[in-house]
Formats: sequence, structure tokens, C-alpha cells
Amino acid sequence: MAAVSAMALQRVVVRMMYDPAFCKRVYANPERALHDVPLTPQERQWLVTPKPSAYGADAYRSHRALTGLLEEFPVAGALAVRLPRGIQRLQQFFATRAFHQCVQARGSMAAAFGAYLGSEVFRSRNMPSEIAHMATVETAIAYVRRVSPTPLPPTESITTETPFGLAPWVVLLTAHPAVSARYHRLLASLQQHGGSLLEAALDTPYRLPPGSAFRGKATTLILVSHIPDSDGPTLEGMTDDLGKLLTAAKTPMRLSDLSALAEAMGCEPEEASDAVAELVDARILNPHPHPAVS
Amino acid sequence: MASFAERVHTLPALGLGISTEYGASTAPDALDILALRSAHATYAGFLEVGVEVAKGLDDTAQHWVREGWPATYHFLDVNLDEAEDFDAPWLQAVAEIAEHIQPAWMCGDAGLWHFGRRERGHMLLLPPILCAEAARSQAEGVVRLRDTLGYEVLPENPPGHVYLGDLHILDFYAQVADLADTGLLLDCAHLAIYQRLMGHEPLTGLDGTPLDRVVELHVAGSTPHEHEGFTYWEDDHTPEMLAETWTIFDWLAPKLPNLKAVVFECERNPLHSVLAGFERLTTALEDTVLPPAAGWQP
Repeated sequence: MAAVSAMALQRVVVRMMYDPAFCKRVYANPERALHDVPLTPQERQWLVTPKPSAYGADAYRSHRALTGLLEEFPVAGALAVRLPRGIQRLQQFFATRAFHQCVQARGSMAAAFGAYLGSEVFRSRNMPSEIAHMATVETAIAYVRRVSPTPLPPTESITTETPFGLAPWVVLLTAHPAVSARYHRLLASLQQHGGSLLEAALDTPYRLPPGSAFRGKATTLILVSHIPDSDGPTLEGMTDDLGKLLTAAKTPMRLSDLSALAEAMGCEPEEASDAVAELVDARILNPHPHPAVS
Repeated sequence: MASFAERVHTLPALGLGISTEYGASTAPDALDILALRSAHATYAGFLEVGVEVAKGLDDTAQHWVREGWPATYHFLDVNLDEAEDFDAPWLQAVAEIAEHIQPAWMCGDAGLWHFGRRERGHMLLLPPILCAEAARSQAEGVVRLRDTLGYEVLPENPPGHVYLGDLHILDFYAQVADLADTGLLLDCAHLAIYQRLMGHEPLTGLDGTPLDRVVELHVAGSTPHEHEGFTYWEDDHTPEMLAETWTIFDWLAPKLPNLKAVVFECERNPLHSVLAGFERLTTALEDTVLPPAAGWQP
């Protein structure tokens, strides 16, 4: 038996604790339910040795996890809760393939939950894609919140040849032009509730401001960032030119090349280098002393 | 590196102590550990600080540390058997907090503290799979942490509702200790819960435990619950201990040549409700190598 097998087994235990239906399937037919997990027959037998109800002893386990997720997805979550059988739809997350893959492959539950909120499960008749749009924004926020701040390299290691690129705590989202305003409007409404964001999200009689359907293409870039030592993640719209510049900076390059790009977009030389320097000062652009090998 | 048999003699005797974790002291009716230390110094000879690096230390723990009183670092956020869990930012944060606390050693439940990555919402605590390969992985984690941070790392038997594997939990941790050449923290309450769930007598398996490796003991109360015909005990640190917990403690404590510390985990209970437990422990410690208050200072 390899150590990876014991670890895989323990992850199955977690899945059985969060998903009672999966637990039942394992007891009914371990080989079938676990066909894609590398376990030995003995390990599969171990799984079904305890009383089945032992796996569900902590009845609030998934509720706690869902609470934590809704705290990170208050806007998309508030909209989802207000759908018919909204809470049940949310609780079904723990039965999804995305959740099980997240546990089995050591993934991020927030990322899996964001993807779930963006799925067909949460499409409504009047606003078919609203929850998905809000989930995309909040998934990006959850992502940048999780990026560990890395210290800047020593000043002496930065030269004119040092490439700079988009910092790891920055995400560029391509979204429908109305998404950012709609997100901020919904968030502001939840903040005015008087309770916590979670309480506001779950308070279904509390009315959220109406919106209109997102028609047309996603054409706007949104900057989602969580700059180290800042108060928290922020969401900002961008001009097309800034969006183009930052999109180009996904591939690290010298500051002079970034300035040249800005000039090519119509900036005066001094204006271009100032703009790039501002992005460096704001830690939107980060030095990469060792250029990536392509 | 010297062997554990040699290293253990350099570890200080901490005596009888208490535990805390972030926010525990602000819970309703929580134990005022500073008042306990003031009124009964021998009951609070040291503080075992439960640390999740994302939260850090609360005001009470900070106060204790500022006073320079003895402490141990109890981790709450590392899966010892997952190499990926030892990422650089986490190790750096642990090193900084440990530098601040100046613990006599590090310890903690050697189980699954979170599934997936170390993220909000992923926290839980499950026992490891009780098999030889998992013991090897746990031992590797103990050595990795000890080598990286320079503190002794004592793995602890965790509580649980579901235990899987072909080893008794005491045999599992005996293997971990042997492979990592380390000491052990044996939680008598967790062991009592395990023995009950598995249908064992309280002392089953203790005859194979490497007694010279047990450095620290924990005792705590637990509460029985029932779920669809399954009876289990929640390790909720009430003052009411299972009789088996005392049976285990009374059998073990006098036999441990390297016992350095005993923790009564009762951090969320008012002072008056826990004094009887401390008195009982103080009496029991008279028959051990451990003076109730050793007076070690970091």
C-alpha cells in the first residue's frame, strides 16, 4: 500500500462526511462508487466498517462550510438564496462533481463553489446569467484574497533589464459592461441591511435592488486586486488602453517595453513612463527578476 | 542530531498547565486564565497556545507571552502527512509566531486539520488512517517541521468519530514516534473516546506504548451524543471527564520517566467548575516524576 493510497482514502472519508448520498453509494457498492480512486480492496472494506451513521455524526458540518462560502460569495449567494428552493440548490454543492474533485485533488472549495454558482443550476428566467456574472467577480475576489504576499526582491537586484509583469494578487476579468456597477449596487444593498453580509444574504424577505438582464457581449475589463498590506480586495473598472497594457503585462517584460507599448497607444513618452511607474508603485506590476522560460 | 533519548533531557519540566486558542477566553463563561494563574499558580504553570497562523494570538495569549511565562505551541493548521502543506509562507509565519512565544516545544494533533489547501472553510480535524504507510508520512512531517523550525515536535493522538485502518491508535503513534525519533503527546481523553468507539477496554494497547517517549499528557471532559443509533463523544473540553480518561491517566502518569507537562483542557469553563479537576491532577502528579509547578522560564 502506498502512502498516496492512505491519503486518497482519507479524502474519501471527507467526501463521505459532507455528502450523505455519496456515503450511501459507497456502502451500497464500494467498488462502483470509488472506481476512480486508487484504493485497495482492504481500504475499501475499511471505509464501510464503521456504522454508516458515524460519517454523519456532525450534522452541521456542511452547514458550517456553506456559511463560510456564503461569506465569501455574499452577492451571488444572496441572489441564489432568493431563487425557488435556493438553499437546497446551494446545499447540493456538496454532492457535485466539482466539490468531490476539489477534496480528492486537494483543490480550493471557493473556486469549486464559484464554478457551481456559475452553472445552469442557478439560471433564472428573468435574469438568466446574473448569478453567474456575480459569481465570476466573487471567485476572482476569493482568488486574490488567497494569494500569499511575496516580498519585493532587493532593490539592487532590479535593473533596467528586469522584467515586470502583472502581480500575482491581480486578476483581469473580461465582463459585461454593466457587471461592475451591478455588483457594487447589490453589495451596497446588502451592506445597508443592518446585519452582517451573511445575514443580509440569507434574509430572503429583504429585497435586493432590481436589475436588468445583461444583454450583449463581455467587452469591459475589470481589475480585481488585493495589494499586500491593503485593507482588502478591490474591484475597479479600467480604460481600454490600461486594460490592453495590463493584458500585455501578463507576460513579463522590461519597463521600457511597457512604456513603449503605452506610447504606441497614444501616450506622450513622459506620460507613458509615468503611467508605468504608477502601476509599479501601486504594486499592480511586480518585478520578475528571473524571467520566465518560455 | 542527538537521539530523542538524549534530547528529552534538555526539555524543561513545565508541570501542570492549561490550554487556549484564539478567542477561547472571550467565550461566555470562559476560564479567566490570568485569574487562575494569579490565584492558583501551580494549576497554570504554563499555557499551551493553540495557533492557527491565519488568526495569530488573541489578547489573552499575547498577555501571557508578554509576561514571559512558560508556553508551548500547539499547531492547529498543518497536515503533517502532506508535504505540500509545508509551504514557505506558512513556515515563515509559524517561525515568527514561535519566535514570539518562545515555546518549550511544539505539539499538536497529528491528523487532518483541513482538506484541500489551507483555506477558510476547509478546517476540520480527523484522525489519520491508522496504517503503516500513513505513520511513515506523519513521521516525515514531524521530522520536516522539527528540522525546519528547530523545536521538538510532539505528535498527539486526535479525537474522531470514524477511525479506519489496521492499527490500534497507540500502535500507530508508537510507529510515528519511532520513525521520527520523537516524543509523544498522549491525550487521555481522545484515547478514552477511541477505546469506547472501538469497543476496547480503557487500557487496551498501552502495554505497547513507548512510555519513555511520552512527554506530555492531556486530560479533558467530553459529552456523549447520539446520531441515528451511533453514540459518540464530543471532545468539547467540559470539566466532566469520562471515567476511562482518569483510568488511563492514573495508569500512565506514574510510569512515564520523561513526563514534562500535563494539560487540563478546560478553557471554555468558569474557574469554579474546573478547580476540582486541577485538585485531582495535583494529587495524581505527586506519584510522578513531574513536580506540579516546575517554574521553568523561557
